[in-house]
Amino acid sequence: MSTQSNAPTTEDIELRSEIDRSLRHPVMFFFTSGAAWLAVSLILGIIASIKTHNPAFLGEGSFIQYGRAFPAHINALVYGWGAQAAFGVMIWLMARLSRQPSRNAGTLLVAGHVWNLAVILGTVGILSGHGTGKHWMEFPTFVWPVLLASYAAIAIWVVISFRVRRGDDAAYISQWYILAACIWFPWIFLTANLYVNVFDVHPLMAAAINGWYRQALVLLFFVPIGIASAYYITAKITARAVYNYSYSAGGFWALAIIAPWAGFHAVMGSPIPMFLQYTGAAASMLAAVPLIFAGVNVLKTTASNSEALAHSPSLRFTVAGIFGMIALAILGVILAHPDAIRYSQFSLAGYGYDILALYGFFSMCMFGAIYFIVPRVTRREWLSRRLIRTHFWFSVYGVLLILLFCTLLGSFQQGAAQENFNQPWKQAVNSTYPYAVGTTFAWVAILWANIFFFIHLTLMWLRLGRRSSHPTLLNRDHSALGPHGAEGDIDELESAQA
Amino acid sequence: MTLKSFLIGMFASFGLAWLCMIAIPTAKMASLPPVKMSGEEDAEFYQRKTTGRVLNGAQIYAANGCYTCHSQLIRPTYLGSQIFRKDVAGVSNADADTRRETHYDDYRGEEYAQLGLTRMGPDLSNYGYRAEAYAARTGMTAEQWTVAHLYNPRNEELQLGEQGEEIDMSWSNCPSQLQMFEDKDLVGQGDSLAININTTAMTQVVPREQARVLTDYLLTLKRDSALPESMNNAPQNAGAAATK
Ligand code: HEC
Repeated sequence: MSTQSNAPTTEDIELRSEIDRSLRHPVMFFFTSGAAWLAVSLILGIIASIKTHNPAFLGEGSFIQYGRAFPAHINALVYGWGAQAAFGVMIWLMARLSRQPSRNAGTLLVAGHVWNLAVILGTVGILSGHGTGKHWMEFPTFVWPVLLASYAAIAIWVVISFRVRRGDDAAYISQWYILAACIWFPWIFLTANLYVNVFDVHPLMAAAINGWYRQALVLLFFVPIGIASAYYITAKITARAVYNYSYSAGGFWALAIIAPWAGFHAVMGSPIPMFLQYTGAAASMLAAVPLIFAGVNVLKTTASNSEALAHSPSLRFTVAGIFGMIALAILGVILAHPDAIRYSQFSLAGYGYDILALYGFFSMCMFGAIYFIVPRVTRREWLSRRLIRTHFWFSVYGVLLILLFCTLLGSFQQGAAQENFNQPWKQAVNSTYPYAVGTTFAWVAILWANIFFFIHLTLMWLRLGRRSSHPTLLNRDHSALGPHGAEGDIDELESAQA
Repeated sequence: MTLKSFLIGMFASFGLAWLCMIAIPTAKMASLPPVKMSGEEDAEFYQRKTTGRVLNGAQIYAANGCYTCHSQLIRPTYLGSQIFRKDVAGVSNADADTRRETHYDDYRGEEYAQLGLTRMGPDLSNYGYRAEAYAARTGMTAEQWTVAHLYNPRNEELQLGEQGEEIDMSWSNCPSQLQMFEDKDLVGQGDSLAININTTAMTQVVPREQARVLTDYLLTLKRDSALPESMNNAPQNAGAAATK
């Protein structure tokens, strides 16, 4: 997978730090503004969740009523945080793996600002009552072309740095995943927006394509980026090659072949052609195969190195994210099963799936990558182990709470009450009450974790990190012992060597 | 893997699914042939009409996120039993039984079928009938009732039981749409849709245009129109036909 098995030459080291330096500002911009959006999204998520059990919270009839706060929360999560974290990781990883410093930091930064502006306008648009009512596409319709244009300005450099890559011709599996995501995203995004917002299609097809879009964005954008990052991080930190290369290639093609068919089960039971509904359900279930393939492959790579797992924050987040992905695969099978759809289709389960995908899997992988990348591009080490550990555990418990307690138990309880057609509706609403309260708690925990993450990240961008040649590990003091040689100020050490 | 084989693989795998799942079905759904009400020679064509005001109402419905809690879909019985829930799938009483599943023509005139994300609130496919029933019980018009519900869903005066007793609605998490109302001076009799009229201060709370348009839309939600014979597979209707 990577060259770390043979000791890197000085030339290698210089090239790497040149790449890191060339990308410092765009990458830090995407991560930090992404983290800010994550916090915004979490606050909106908490408000929305509280509103389900306490509708008068912060006043009624306002811009944060449930029907606006909830879509704003999801869209900020997807486009504000998710996409931007993905951009940062894509750019950096592709540059590193292709061994190409970036000459376009300026363009990337401008595109990043435009993207953020579009997300701001979109979120304000939803909150002020101009949402479109198409889930994950609620931004007012003038926003999507702006998003697409700034995406193009970002992704084109990723593709170019792949084309001009140096060294061996064989590309790494992570590069293929990133390249694929670069191509899938505009195809999915453009298809969905044209069909739903522009073309005059049957209202039911528009709704069905919206369901497809959400599933495709998860399986063909967030999943490949998450997997690419996980392969890279695990191979780097454990200093081993990916467990089985043909598994990873097989997993990639299985994903490419299965995932584009998935998603139409979101509108199961509606009068659209049957084969769309059932193909969508079948593909969503089958998509578990490539996810589990990749997941097992990553876990096998780490398996023999439990020490690294205990020490390295990057690896720990990544492995948690991969467990999240395997859970996502299993949940996907359960929720797309026609027998479960009866209960789950109109319950909170769909939301739980989205959160597991976007936070339990994707964000955790991105945190893993960020803990790895940021010290390299800023040449400073993370300030505090405590903060990292808090971030990790509050995230894990928050997601587990949402997944087990609220998504699985809560939604089937809710679905069963809805099905119980002789009982008044009040029962269906009341049955969700404890789970709604639980979801609020989970979001508060996750917000707590991420406020510190945001602060930590901002300090790093300001280059207030530790000036040390030793990485911040989770359970060891920063001593002079260990594999990194004598500890000291990283800039002084290097100028002394030079 | 070379870049060329990679790209071919990408376009083939995604392109095939894209054609079969998106492009072709959408084209087919856009040009569904008209259907006659019955097999007879001179039978009428089935059609459903909606007006521009409904379209605007649907936009207000979307912009305020009603779809996050309310569905507009009666699924077939093998996927759920909402069709049997009282007054959800149509009207059923001694004289008539119009309950049926949702049909692809039910959203005609809307841009986007608001199938809904969850059912935190009840399905609204046939809300128009329920509004009339609630209104009759409380001595209002369906329009007044709906406006009053938008103003305060937790108003227990809106839900009366069999004996006219008030039913507790404090459990409802339906958001109030206060922003769609305004204070106005009371002139003459007042607005027929005014929420509360204060005769000492000579003011009244009246719905803005948004609330009126949304109400119009909600009251058109009566998705039980008789379907052409060839399309109606509602189980209870089939049963009724068989016993005739
Ligand atoms: C947080 C979830 C939620 C949202 C968002 C929501 N509702 Fe509700 N709605 C409910 C619940 C729960 C009920 C049942 C209790 C009641 O009648 O108030 C309900 C009931 C209703 C009813 C009465 C239905 C009946 O037959 O009894 C109407 C009409 C209604 N909502 C309209 C709307 C409109 C219009 C919107 C968007 C502006 C909306 N709702 C948004 C949860 C929601």
